[in-house]
Amino acid sequence: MKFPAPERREVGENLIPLINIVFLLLIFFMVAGALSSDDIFQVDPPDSTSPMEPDHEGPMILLSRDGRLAVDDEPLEATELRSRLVAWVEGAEPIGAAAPPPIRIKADQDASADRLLDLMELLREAGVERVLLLTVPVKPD
Amino acid sequence: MRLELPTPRRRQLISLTPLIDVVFILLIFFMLASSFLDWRTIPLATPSTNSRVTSDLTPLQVRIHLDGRLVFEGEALELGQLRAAVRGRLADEPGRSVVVRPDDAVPLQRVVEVLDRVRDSGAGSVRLDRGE
Repeated sequence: MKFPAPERREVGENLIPLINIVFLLLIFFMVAGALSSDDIFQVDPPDSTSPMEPDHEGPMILLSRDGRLAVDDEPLEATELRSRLVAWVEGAEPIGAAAPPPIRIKADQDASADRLLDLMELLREAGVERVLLLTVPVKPD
Repeated sequence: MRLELPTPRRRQLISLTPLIDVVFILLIFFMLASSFLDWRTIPLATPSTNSRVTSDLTPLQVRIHLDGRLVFEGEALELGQLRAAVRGRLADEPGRSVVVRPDDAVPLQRVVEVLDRVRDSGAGSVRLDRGE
């Protein structure tokens, strides 16, 4: 008994739908997701109903749960942070009448209030008047 | 003489396997590297120690105690009642600012919840300051 020779299949023919899907996924992730670098320590931002969206200018200060500070992914002590901020405020001021962009604070939701207030008092001493506290929207239950 | 012409071969696509490899690697890279966090912000003024608010009215005070109690102008209430209470008070005396004073060890999430309620109540200026 002789079987007919199996039909030879073009490999490429079957793969094209797969490639289509993978390309779509690729483009989705490229467009929809913002590339992010991990923070140097874990910071879990608080939930809030605030509708304001942040602008992405100005330095960002990280405040971890146990009170460690970092600016732009560089861990700093409070005194270093102050001199850095003073330099930043002085550098930002002469540009013009426009106020310098506010400093963003990304603080952990379990950080205690006095750590945040310590940081804000330090900012005030350095001459910063406006800060933005970064939050994420409340997750629907 | 009969020439046996070869059947025209289908044009070979570019070799697919390396292409798929590269696309998969890119896909996995973007899946792992992108973040979908949707950021929001709460604007705050840094607490001023010397230049007090120029208003002659003392700000309305919301205290957040460590055990979870909220006290608005000497009156204890729940988080759900805060918005209405602040709104009622501001209707009587528009333009008063509100200061939120958490105890030292109150977690930030709790502070943010209170700030949200106060902001929703229409307070023009909300400050965060130290509890005494």
